[in-house]
Amino acid sequence: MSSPNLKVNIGGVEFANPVMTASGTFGYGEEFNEYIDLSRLGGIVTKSITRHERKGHRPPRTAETASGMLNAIGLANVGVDAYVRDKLQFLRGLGTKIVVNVAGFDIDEFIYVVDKLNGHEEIDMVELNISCPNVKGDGMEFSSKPEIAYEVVSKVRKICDFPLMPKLSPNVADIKPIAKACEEAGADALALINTLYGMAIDPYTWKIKLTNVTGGLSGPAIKPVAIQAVWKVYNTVKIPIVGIGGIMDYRDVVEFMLAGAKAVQFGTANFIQPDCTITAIDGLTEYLQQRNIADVNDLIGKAVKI
Amino acid sequence: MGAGAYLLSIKLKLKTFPHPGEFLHIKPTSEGNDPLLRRAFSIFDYDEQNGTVDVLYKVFGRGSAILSRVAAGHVLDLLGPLGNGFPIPEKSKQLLLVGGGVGIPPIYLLAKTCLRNGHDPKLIKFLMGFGKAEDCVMGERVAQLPIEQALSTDDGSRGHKGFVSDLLKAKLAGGLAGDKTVIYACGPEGMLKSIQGLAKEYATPCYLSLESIMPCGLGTCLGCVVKQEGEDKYLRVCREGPVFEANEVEL
Ligand SMILES: Cc1cc2nc3c(=O)[nH]c(=O)nc-3n(C[C@H](O)[C@H](O)[C@H](O)COP(=O)(O)O)c2cc1C
Ligand code: FES
Repeated sequence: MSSPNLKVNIGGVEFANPVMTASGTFGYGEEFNEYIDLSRLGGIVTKSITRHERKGHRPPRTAETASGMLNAIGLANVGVDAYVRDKLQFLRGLGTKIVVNVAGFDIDEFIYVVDKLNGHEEIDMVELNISCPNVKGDGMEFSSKPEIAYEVVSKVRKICDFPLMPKLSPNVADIKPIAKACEEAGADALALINTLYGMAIDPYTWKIKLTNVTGGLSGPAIKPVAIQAVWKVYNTVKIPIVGIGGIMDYRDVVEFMLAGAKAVQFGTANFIQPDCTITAIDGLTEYLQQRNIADVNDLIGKAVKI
Repeated sequence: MGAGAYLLSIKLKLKTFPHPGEFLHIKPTSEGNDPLLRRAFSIFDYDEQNGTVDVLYKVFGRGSAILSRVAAGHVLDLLGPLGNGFPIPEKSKQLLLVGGGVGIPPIYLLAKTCLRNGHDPKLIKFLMGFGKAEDCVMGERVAQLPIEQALSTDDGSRGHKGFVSDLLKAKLAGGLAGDKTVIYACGPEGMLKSIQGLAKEYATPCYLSLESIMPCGLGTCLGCVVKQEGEDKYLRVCREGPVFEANEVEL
């Protein structure tokens, strides 16, 4: 059978395939250039950027846990000015879609950063990391309450030149109203999930493994949490979903798409297998061919109840 | 090798002789997701004829325990050599090489590399520190090098009772301090901290190879960082390091 269609359209942006890299796990793309052909990726989502440069938390910043890892990097990044000046140059002309992840600790910061990105045509989409604490509000994550999520997304939507994709936190009682609020605020797509809160302690030394005490859990350990979040949100909103959480190979890609994702992001897996994304694109192609599925879009939301 | 120390010989043909201080990023098991991440192992030795890379490690967590049970002939999943190793010293320099326990491998490879390059053996001194006598197996290969050596154990069961930094201090105080000498060290953080202090006190150039938890080894996760001395900045141990000039980092 001829090659199946792998193209997916998310918020008006056509991705060559549904495989992207997750923010914070792929730097600004440079380091992976020596390991993989970046042009084959559906998209690259770059490390969260903020108004100013951030040095990040004091180490140790990571700890391995059962089938997962905790990280408290502290959103270390070069800041938006240096990003536009030094990093976009490399990303330009890579032949893959560039999604810029933007973080902020108050609404003005999100607006400031997105405004600086406006007009840069090498950018295809903005992913909004609303899993940060709202320091001018109640200190809770923006994505923890529908009203706050609505406020930040609608304000950014008004000034943003690009399709906008808020990234949701799983650390909520119910993700559905948050997703709905983002959709109503004009989001073009949703990315989920960010990391889960976690903590680990050494039983011999009694020391907490991260200087920051708590961190974000990622890796295969969180995949079932992510799958159910995608499934619930798929059954709540009409905009496309980009699934994230513990994806290691093409089988996981299929699983997320069956749950309702239109595309996916590989995070922690990049640390273990720098070419995991490429292997997954090849694996997905073969999977579709073997099953005579002509279009990858035919997988979306097709999970069946037993 | 006993005392929880293991020698792993990997059939791996490298393009060039590995630079001392470089590391391999090895997945303890290629099956399943637990343990999940690769671990960094300093290159201990390289056999050009047979194309084998040796690493030496002690079992202290699940990953290294699993690796220690890997059967001979097993295919390992690894990346490397990675990182920036030790700068090779000028031949006129007096070298004070200091290795603490599992920190010995890169220092051994440095000694071997310098000897291969024709560095005068009389100008190389190797100081080793261990917990107790049984741990000294890790120094076996060093013992075969034609250079002056000294040894300490924490409990005094072999060699000097105390820290390897005591041995270094004696050398520096005994007339070897200054910029005709270079100190190279790898070992536990406490040891590196005292060596860093001694290098400063005796105004002697010094390079340290640091250990860190390295989730990616590629420079992307920003997990492995160390604080840069005098700057509000972090350096990646896997990329900018693992070898740093002693006064460049804050331990
Ligand atoms: C080391 C590390 C750094 C991360 N940094 C960011 C970040 O800057 N911004 C963000 O939105 N998500 C960040 N994430 C979260 C990932 O993008 C992703 O949502 C999460 O890790 C779950 O996917 P995974 O299980 O495939 O890793 C980070 C994750 C890791 C492991
Ligand atoms: S181990 Fe990931 S940046 Fe160094």
